[in-house]
Amino acid sequence: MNMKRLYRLMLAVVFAAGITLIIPNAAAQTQIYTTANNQGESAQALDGYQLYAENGRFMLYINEEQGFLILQDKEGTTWKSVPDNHMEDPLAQGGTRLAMESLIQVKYSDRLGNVNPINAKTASVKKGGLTCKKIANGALLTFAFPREGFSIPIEIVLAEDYVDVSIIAKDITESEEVYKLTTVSVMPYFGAAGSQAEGYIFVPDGSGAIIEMNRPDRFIEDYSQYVYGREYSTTRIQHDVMAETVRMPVFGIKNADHAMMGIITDGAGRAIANASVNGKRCSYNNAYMEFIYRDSDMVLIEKKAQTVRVLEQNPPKPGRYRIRYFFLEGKDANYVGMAHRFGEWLLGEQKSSVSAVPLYMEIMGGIMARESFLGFPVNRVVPLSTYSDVQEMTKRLASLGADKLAIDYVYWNKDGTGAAIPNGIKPEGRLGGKKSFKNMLNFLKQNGTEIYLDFNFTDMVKSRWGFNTRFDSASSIQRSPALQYAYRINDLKAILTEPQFLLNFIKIKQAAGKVADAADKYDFTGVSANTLGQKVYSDFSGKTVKRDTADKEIQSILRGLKDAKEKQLLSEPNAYAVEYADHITDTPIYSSGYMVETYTVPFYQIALHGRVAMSTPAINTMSDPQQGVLKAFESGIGIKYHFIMKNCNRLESTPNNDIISSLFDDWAEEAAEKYVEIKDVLNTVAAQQIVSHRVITQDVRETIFSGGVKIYVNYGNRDFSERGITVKAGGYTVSGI
Amino acid sequence: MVKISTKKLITFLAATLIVGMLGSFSAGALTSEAPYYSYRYDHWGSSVPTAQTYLPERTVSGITIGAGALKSPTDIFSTPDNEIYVLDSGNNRVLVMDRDMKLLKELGPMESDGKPMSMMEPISIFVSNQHKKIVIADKKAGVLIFDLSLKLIDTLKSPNSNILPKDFFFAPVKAIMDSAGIYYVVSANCYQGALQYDERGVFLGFYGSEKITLTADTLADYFWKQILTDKQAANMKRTVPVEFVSFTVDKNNFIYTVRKGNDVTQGQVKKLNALGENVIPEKVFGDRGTETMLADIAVDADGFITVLDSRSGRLFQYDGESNLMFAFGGKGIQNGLTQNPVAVESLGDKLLLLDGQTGLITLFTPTDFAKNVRKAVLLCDDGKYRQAMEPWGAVLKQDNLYELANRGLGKAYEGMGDFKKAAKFYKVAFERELYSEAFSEYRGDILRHNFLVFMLGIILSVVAPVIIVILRRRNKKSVYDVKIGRFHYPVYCMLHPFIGYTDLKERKKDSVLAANVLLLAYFIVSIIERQLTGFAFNYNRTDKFNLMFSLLSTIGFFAAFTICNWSITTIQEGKGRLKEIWNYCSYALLPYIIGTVVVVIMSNVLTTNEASFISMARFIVYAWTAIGLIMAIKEVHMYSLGRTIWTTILTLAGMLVILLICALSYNILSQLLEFIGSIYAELKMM
Repeated sequence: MNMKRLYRLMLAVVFAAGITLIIPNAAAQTQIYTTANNQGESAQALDGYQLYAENGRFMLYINEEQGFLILQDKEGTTWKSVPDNHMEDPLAQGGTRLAMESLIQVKYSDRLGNVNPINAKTASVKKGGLTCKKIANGALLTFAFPREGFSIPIEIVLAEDYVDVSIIAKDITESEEVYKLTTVSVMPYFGAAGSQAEGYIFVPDGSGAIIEMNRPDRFIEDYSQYVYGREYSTTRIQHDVMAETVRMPVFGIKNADHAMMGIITDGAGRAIANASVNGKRCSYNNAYMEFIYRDSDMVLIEKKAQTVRVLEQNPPKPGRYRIRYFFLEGKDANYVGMAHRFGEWLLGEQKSSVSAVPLYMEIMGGIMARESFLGFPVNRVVPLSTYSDVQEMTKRLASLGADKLAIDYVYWNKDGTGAAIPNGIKPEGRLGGKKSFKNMLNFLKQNGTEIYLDFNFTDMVKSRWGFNTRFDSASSIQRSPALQYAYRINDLKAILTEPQFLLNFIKIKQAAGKVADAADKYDFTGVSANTLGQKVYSDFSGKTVKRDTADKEIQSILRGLKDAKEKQLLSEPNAYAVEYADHITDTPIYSSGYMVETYTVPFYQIALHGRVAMSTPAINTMSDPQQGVLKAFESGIGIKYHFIMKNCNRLESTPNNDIISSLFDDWAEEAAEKYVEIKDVLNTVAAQQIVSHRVITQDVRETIFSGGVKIYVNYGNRDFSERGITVKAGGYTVSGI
Repeated sequence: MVKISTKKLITFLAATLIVGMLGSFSAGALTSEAPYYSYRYDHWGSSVPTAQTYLPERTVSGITIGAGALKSPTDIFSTPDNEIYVLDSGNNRVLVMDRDMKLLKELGPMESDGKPMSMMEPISIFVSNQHKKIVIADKKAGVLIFDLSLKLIDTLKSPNSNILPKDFFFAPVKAIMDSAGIYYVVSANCYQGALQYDERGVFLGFYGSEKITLTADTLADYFWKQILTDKQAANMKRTVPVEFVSFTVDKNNFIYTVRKGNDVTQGQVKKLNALGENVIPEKVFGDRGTETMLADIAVDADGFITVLDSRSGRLFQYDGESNLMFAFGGKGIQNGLTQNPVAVESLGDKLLLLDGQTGLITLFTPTDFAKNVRKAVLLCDDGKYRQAMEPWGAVLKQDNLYELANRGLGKAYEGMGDFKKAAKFYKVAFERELYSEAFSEYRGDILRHNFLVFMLGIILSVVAPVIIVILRRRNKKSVYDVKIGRFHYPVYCMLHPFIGYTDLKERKKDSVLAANVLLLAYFIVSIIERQLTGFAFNYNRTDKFNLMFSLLSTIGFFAAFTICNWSITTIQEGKGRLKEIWNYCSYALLPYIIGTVVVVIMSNVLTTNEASFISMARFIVYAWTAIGLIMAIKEVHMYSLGRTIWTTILTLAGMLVILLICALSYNILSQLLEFIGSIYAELKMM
């Protein structure tokens, strides 16, 4: 910002200040209450309903007066937007009962920045705000909220074996200046199960988690997680909970022999997965998706030492936010069935291109650190694994029997961790230089070792021509660059001194294009644009995209990168990135362990098994690597190690000081040994689907693959026996091979 | 309005001014075996990640063990034979479980005649199988002493003793008993220590109270209290010894006390012997650089101390020497986290954590990593360093930088006579003393092997200057006859501080070029001193170096001095011009430049035992420099000695003023920039 501009700005401010002083603050403050009304009408009978649409599988009924919905599945059961007997629920208060009768619930921000929830029944339907319209194969319901001034159209369309429910975002209107719509929850009690129901809620936490319904020892707390993690472009001074990220925009409810699941097909980046259990506010168990229409950020005002909510100015109008509901019956009505349906939706009939399971290695090249040169401090790359070290590692592992390797080489590039956004393929001199780099690639190629070069297109450490940290970065809601912090480990506060920036997606496309163009010059297996698969974020400046469509943008970038080298490896990718990966490393193997969850399931792996080659996270960073091996067996995926060759002492007091157990010499033998131990079994099942997965106890699990192979694993510290099968503590048993 | 807009400025300033940054983690690096990191504090006091140490094995509730939900439980206790007692205060009962967390019995309190009674506000429970007693501290009812079937035997009430202050109010929050049957009771808001009762309930006196030591603070307090009114004095922060929040007893009857930790930064935990004396080092307990609220302590059979911080929900485990081994845990609604942790208890090498809000008990199991650390620490305590090598090796495999392991391995190698390796490990562990010892051992080896070279070197460095001096003396002329080159003057002034500057002033032979070269050398040497001083003597963070800061503290300082001196002396009839002051003073730095290099070299070959040589060398260098500097100022202004000293003092005062002005204008400037930034941000939002 130059001085002239500043001066002009200051002048403008003086004027603006004058004007605000002259015009009195006219708009009066209004208070909003959600009325607690106990006289909600029952919706038990079908007689208030009208048939809106019907196809070979479904019949859609709508109660125009009440705004209720019933979906009859001709191959299964009847699904209602309002749970049965909700008026008799002893736990639910009047307000909750009305909420249960609402097809949508919204939250809005008032002039003070407080966010209030209201339900459609109270604030719209009862005030005559609902209009219903028949459309081809479905219905269009428009909820007008007369007091708050919102109009929200919801479209329900029947298809061959699913039902699409969309919020038509582009037609949402807000007419009152003071009320701003923030979120819309879609059919929050659709498929809700009562206190007698037997079943569970599936939530997409990490690898996936199950919330068993109505357990006497249940922990009564809501589940709520942002899909793909919280918006990266918001201010995060304090690191909140350490939780797994929702990588899949999906949820499900299983009730006896019936199950329903919802997949977000559009706008997943702006959704929150929610679930609530019997006892929290009513006796029902429900799960639903909530869409963020208008995001907001809490900004600290230092002078007043308080935080205020800053609202997103222009919410994106992506067309629609859409959830696709599938209904599963009988033997498919469980999380395995849900996972298969999800995998099918994601990848269709795709089969894995990888025949043999390799030993996955993430090798870290060089870090940018302060070194002493003749006593003088200089910032330069400290090599952790040079190009010739990589050769050494593969040789050593091969000699120990690990014959098939796949390497994800990170920070191999010029400047290591201190690199600017890549715009080509540039080896680092301190790692050996161009010649050594080529030697390494040749060597690996001759040995049949796959090497993927990691490119970080999202995180800007410093500017480069064309990629300026200030002007080309994604903006926060306050329209300044969205700063990305590292956090202190003891109080989880952000370290404000060295923020990083996020490159906006237009610029990422440019950078990725350049890298794709340069890829021919070197002979490596493929690109791994790991952070693109993991991070999706908005640019609130309005110049580029926001999270509602950023996933589509990333898909086209990843497609370009994959085309450049045919193959691609991605680490823990979100659902949108999965189809561009041949290998997926670091698949989530845990859930966040919320106490409301009963146990963790490998939903992610079940959905993708046989379609993509996968691995665990680096097991040498776990406290007990054997647990990682068991995780690999449970879901039939490969194992991964994280390696550096030397200079581990130099990582102290750098941002990479969490790399503490990666020294190759310490782990090489163990890695080869474990790989040799597992590879035959895993190769057998590599191309197969997981047809059954059973949690026998918290510690013992059984997985059956389509070829008939059965694998039992036991995470506990006691041996387990069942029907002649014994699984040792910390061990596994394979049968049917 | 928005903080972000001035971030760049703050970033820049912080980067230039703040030396040393705390350890960090990047948000993406979590391997989520648990919803928390295990960490420790490194040598510099920064928190750094370590391998996972304790993981939640299981969480049990009253319902899972078949006793119905717990209601505001307040304490948990495990006996030496691993029976677990839970004080379920809200339900007026005590639950007893075995080591597998299976319910053994549910006890309801009874009066001595067998009628059920209700406790009023029970806070803590202690069970002595030896004495067949259950001791429950009830904040309102006093200390209730039950038999093992929870039938009341006795109640300890507020003692009638004249050593108690008038306003003493008995509110027991913790009561324990040692193997001799002596009761120790902590009462809320009691600053005298723990109350001691004998086995029949007779008050014995206070135990473990902290002595008030006479410090400047207490003196100042005393002074103010004389002046202020009673009411004002009451508002002052009291410097009384702080109340204990919890304590425990080990099998050898040592009492461990813990205080909240919001008032002291170290020594929060004490291990007291029968005389009430602390026998462990007063190191930092709990988190550093952030608010803590230590709430409970547990000591296991191996003597490891675990402390609970109820504010952060974290647990800290220490060895018998108060060294933090690791910290872990946190608050939240995930497995392994708690919402309102109230008590920690050890169960073998496992830990039990009680959540008073949810009534859940979490059982934490040590990972292999933690087990190895504990094993190795115990072996080292017994002096079995060789045997400790294996577990330490395993520890280093999972945390390459674990300081205690490096120290332990250093000890082992030292014991084996491999001093070079020992020194290497000590260096990683930042053990300067131990490093120095090991280094002195193999320095001897090096000396022996290269004796001839060393002797030659010493002879040359001593004899050569002597010869040069003798040779020069031989054809010595009168000072005034010597023709000294312009660039020879710095050396000449160094060697002849008393006549050199006079001569320089007379002949006006000073050179800006020479001065600037010297200043550059001064700057370089100061960096060399900071970065290359031998490990045993170097307390700087060589990995956190700030060029700007070095520049300011050397050349910046020098420039400020010169300018101040010039402005002071111009009104004090000084004859020196600014350029002259600059030149003369920089000439005076030459002994410092040369001397520092020598000191740096010495620091790399000497050990801490020989530190006095270095101090001596430093003293000589400083004295020499100071004399030169004073002579330079004296001669450049043609002052008397007294006046020189006076103006020097004024100069230093002037520098202080400059510093103040700089700080002030920096403050104003940054506020202005922040203001502009916030306006900019507001405009952008419009």
